[in-house]
Amino acid sequence: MGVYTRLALKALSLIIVLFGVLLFVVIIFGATGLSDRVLSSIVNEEVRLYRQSVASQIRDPEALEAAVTKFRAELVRSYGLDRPWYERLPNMLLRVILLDLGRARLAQTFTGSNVISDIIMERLPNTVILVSTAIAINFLIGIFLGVRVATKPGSRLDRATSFLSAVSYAVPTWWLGILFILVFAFYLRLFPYGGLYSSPPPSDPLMRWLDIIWHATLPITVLVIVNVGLTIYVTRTIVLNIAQEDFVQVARVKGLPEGLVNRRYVMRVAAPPILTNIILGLAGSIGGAILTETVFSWPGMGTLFFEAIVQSDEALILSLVYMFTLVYVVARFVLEVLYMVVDPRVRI
Amino acid sequence: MSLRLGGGFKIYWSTWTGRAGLALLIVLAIVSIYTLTVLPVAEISRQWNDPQHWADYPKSAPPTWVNLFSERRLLETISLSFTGARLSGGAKSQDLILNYQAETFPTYISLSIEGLEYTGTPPVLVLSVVRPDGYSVEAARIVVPPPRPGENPPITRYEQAPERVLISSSDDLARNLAQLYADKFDVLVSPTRVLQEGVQRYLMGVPRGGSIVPLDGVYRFTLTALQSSGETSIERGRVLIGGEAYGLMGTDVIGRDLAIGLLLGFPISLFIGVVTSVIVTGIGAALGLVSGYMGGKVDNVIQRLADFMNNIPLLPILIFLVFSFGAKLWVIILVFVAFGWPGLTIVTRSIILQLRESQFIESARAVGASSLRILARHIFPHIAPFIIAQIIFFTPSFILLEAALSFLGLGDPSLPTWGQILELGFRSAAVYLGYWWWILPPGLLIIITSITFVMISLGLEPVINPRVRGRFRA
Repeated sequence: MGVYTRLALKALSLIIVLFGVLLFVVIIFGATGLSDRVLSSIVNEEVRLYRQSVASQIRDPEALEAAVTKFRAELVRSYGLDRPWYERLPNMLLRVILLDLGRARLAQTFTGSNVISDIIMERLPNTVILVSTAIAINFLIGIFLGVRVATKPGSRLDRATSFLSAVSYAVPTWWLGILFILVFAFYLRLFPYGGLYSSPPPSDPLMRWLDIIWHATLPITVLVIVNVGLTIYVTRTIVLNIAQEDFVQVARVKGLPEGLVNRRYVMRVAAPPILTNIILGLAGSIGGAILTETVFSWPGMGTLFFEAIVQSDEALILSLVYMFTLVYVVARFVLEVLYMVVDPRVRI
Repeated sequence: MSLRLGGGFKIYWSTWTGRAGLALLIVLAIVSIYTLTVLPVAEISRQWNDPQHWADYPKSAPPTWVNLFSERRLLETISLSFTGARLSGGAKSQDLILNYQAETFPTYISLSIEGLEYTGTPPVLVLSVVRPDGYSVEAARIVVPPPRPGENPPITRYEQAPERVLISSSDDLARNLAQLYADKFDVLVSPTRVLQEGVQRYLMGVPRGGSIVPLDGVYRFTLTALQSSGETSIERGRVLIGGEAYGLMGTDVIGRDLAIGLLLGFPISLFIGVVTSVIVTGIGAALGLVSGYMGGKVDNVIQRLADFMNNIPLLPILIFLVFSFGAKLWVIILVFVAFGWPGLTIVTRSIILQLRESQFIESARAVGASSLRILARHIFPHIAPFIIAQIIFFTPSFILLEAALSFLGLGDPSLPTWGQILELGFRSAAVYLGYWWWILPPGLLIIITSITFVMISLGLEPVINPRVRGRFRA
């Protein structure tokens, strides 16, 4: 199987995942009657706009009322509100995919638009920046320390890391975030309570970036602390297993320098399973980001999710489930490509 | 491997994580059982959910033990309560003694009366205060409503909802105090100013050098029933001297005693964690068993589904489902079960695939044992310890997941959980105001409960999986 066939197959299976999630979500959405509510609110909004636009042309109140009723009936038919939810399933699916779900109840973009797709497109980059930075730092630290620990199995450091990685599993990311705000923002006043920029944001571009970094420090630190224990532990186990293999022993016996053995013989083999581990942790990182963003009022999709729940905004929640799955699927695909780069066996 | 319980426990006990985990679990279980049995649950959950109960308490007050560490002593909330008081015709009265020794004034003073019963003419309840300097002042007056047409004595009043009087914002008392200060201390203040500065300051203070300072000593609060021709009895009542600190764990922004919420969180959190984990493990293992042993089409379908569900970001979907079906406890557990099983199914299947080819299964088959018998008698005992370990291993993840949902505002509102306490704290900006007593305890309890199960898992690891035994002995 060639590289491209393999990638195409991966992409296909990920698209199936995305589509499956969408289908499931839309079915639930329809069966619980939520889709009726979302569509009717879109219809009401359009009818309101229509009434405003024709009110200047049609003076007779009865004729106006008749025109509005006619317009509403057309809309109801075109949105499929006169039919049961399962008949308009394909239509709804298409709407979700195109993020054409009307307006958010209260959430807005920076410029004041409340169209759902505008809001999500504004928030998406913020989430991507936060999550990808956290994942990258997590794995840089995790792999570095994991390899370090693996060179001294059974040592005090080794046992401490295994224990701490188990403990970090029990610490809720969001609570650690709250704790950090209490300590570093409230008591020590070293970092801001949350948000993306200071207000007003600095005008100088460089200062603006520094400002973002200053605001992102706490959320990223929290995300890294919670996840890094496991990364260290898993890396250590993988590296340890490979370091005991015969071919590594042979390389050492040949008298190759330790650094070279580690790079060429151990890490080369350990890279693919470590990457697999990153892939497996991805879904969890995205979930953690929803909560961490909320705690730090980071204006990404996670905070938007929280707002949507508080405001009971069905359409927004549906769009966000789709977007999070989409982000996940895309990230998965990027990692799969990376996997092919590090694992030569896949390329044969 | 299957049922050598004694030996297994010895190995378990030899790990410190195992010992610590078990000890913590026992503590958690005792607290939960105590909450459910010794304390009347209906009564405490009423104390948590019914606004009548905490309307009197100070809002956002830290626990009283902070006084042990802080330089400035915070005034503790003092409750002067009585039960079963009989007040007849002004002759008998209910006395409450307050020995007040503090550098600050109370934040408020309130009187509440519950379950009043009278015969004869409706009484007028009067609360008067005798100050340490001997001056006396009428603090509150409650006119009990007369009988409605058709109502026969004894007449009961304030049974459902207690009657509350906020003494510290009473116009009458402000007027009485202005009068008292003018007569006895030659200090002229207007009743409006008394109200503005706080009636309780004037009630429990003396003028000194142009300002009012607290007056230490014994205050006598006396409740009498005037104009009553018959018997008046009060089931429960209290005068609350509102302080800046309250109870063992402090209060939240609406004045609820956090100790009660935290205590109720124990059984709920354990219940959600353990019950969900048992169901998830049961279903996951059963599907894995079937999938691995049957093979063929069934195996294919189950594995495809498990693969699919293992590959989706869980939290957004869980949020969506709980939001769509409503935040009820059973919905939350059901959703966890629906999405929790795949991981275990995949692992169990791979274990079964190995077992299926082993010789003792082959010999059982050769003897002519049925599939069901082989599954029940030969395969199940082999994976039973593994399944039990999985139950414990999964428990903290569900405790944490429920806490996360609660924190996002999707907890069952009828049950107080630690996650919900944190949610209200976060939403009412407790973090930004530094209300640590509201933020730290629920989070620490979530962590301790989860760590308990993590530690037991660590302790069980060498029992279940003999290969790792060496690691913990080192």
